[in-house]
Amino acid sequence: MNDTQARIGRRAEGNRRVGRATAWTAAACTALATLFGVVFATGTTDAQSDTGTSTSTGSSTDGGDSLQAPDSAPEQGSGSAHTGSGGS
Amino acid sequence: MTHVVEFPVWGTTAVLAVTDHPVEAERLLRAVLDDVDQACNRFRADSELSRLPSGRAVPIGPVLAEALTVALRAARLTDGLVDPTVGGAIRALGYDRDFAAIVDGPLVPQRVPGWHRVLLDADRGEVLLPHGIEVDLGATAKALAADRAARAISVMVGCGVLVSLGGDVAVAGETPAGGWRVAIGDDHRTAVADPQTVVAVRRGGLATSSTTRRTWLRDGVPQHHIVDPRTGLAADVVWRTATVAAGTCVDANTAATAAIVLGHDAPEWLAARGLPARLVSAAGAVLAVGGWPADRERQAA
Repeated sequence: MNDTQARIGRRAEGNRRVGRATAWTAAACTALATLFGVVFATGTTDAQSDTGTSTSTGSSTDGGDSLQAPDSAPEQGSGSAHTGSGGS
Repeated sequence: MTHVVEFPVWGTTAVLAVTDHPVEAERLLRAVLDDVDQACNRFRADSELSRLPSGRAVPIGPVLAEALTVALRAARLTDGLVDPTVGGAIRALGYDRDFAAIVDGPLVPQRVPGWHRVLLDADRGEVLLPHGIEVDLGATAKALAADRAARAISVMVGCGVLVSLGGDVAVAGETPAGGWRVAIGDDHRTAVADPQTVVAVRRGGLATSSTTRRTWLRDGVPQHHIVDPRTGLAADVVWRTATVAAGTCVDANTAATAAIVLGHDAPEWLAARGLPARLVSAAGAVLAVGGWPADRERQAA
């Protein structure tokens, strides 16, 4: 093996080491980003569900975290009404 | 065939319509109303709510616990627009006794303490009201009573049912042909005879909040019973009525009250939550939101 072949060999080994380091760095960054994403998302969910009070309902009447829309909008009615809705 | 019964309650009108078993259904409705009245009526000196002490945690019964749970949930989901701690502010505006007995007097607004200060542990059945907080469950307890009664009658009596308490409507069970028909107007008592529109509902609830009923003078200035918790004053009259349909009567009432307080921001707020609504401006213009039927509307008087 002459000097030229030796230099080519060292350069190739250097490139492989740089490639492996880059791959490890990318993998580590991906893992950290995933971990951060989970933590961030959990924190966001906790913040959204935090009522700001020590209220602990646990009640079946709590009704969820949003006002419940109807299954369908009212339809135009015809005929006499069963009852009225208005100011009381 | 439907059977309809009507009787006075809480200064307004209860309407019960059922597809069958009217006697058993009325008995059950009155029992539910008695339970809610004994627990939540702030005009009754002997109600559980009126007798709640301040400054220490005390045990409460299941009905009051449920009513407080519902009221605090309404406050949370509306970012405090519907706040049960407006009791002191309402009293300061003059609504400190049964409505028929209100007299004019000086207007001294009172700050609303905020719902976060009510500490409720519904699992243990305990509540702690800090000093200076007066709870008013008027915005949600009536609707809760309608939901409870409709659900109980449907399950225990086994019929289709509509319960209306002062225009807060809950339906459950089978529906008559064409659905349960509800006339909408400024006043629930005259809406059937002189409807602005009639809608049919099959499930859930429907409620109307109004700035035209239960009005009085304070310092010569017209007041109404919907307080804006942000100011402690009666909400600005952008809408004379807000009618909302929702999965429950409580949610319909909550959204209708929030809409009155929100004023110009109400249409967008309601649409974002998928809540069909009918808003009538102070001048009488009708605005349909979120799929509310617009056909055959006529302008409010």
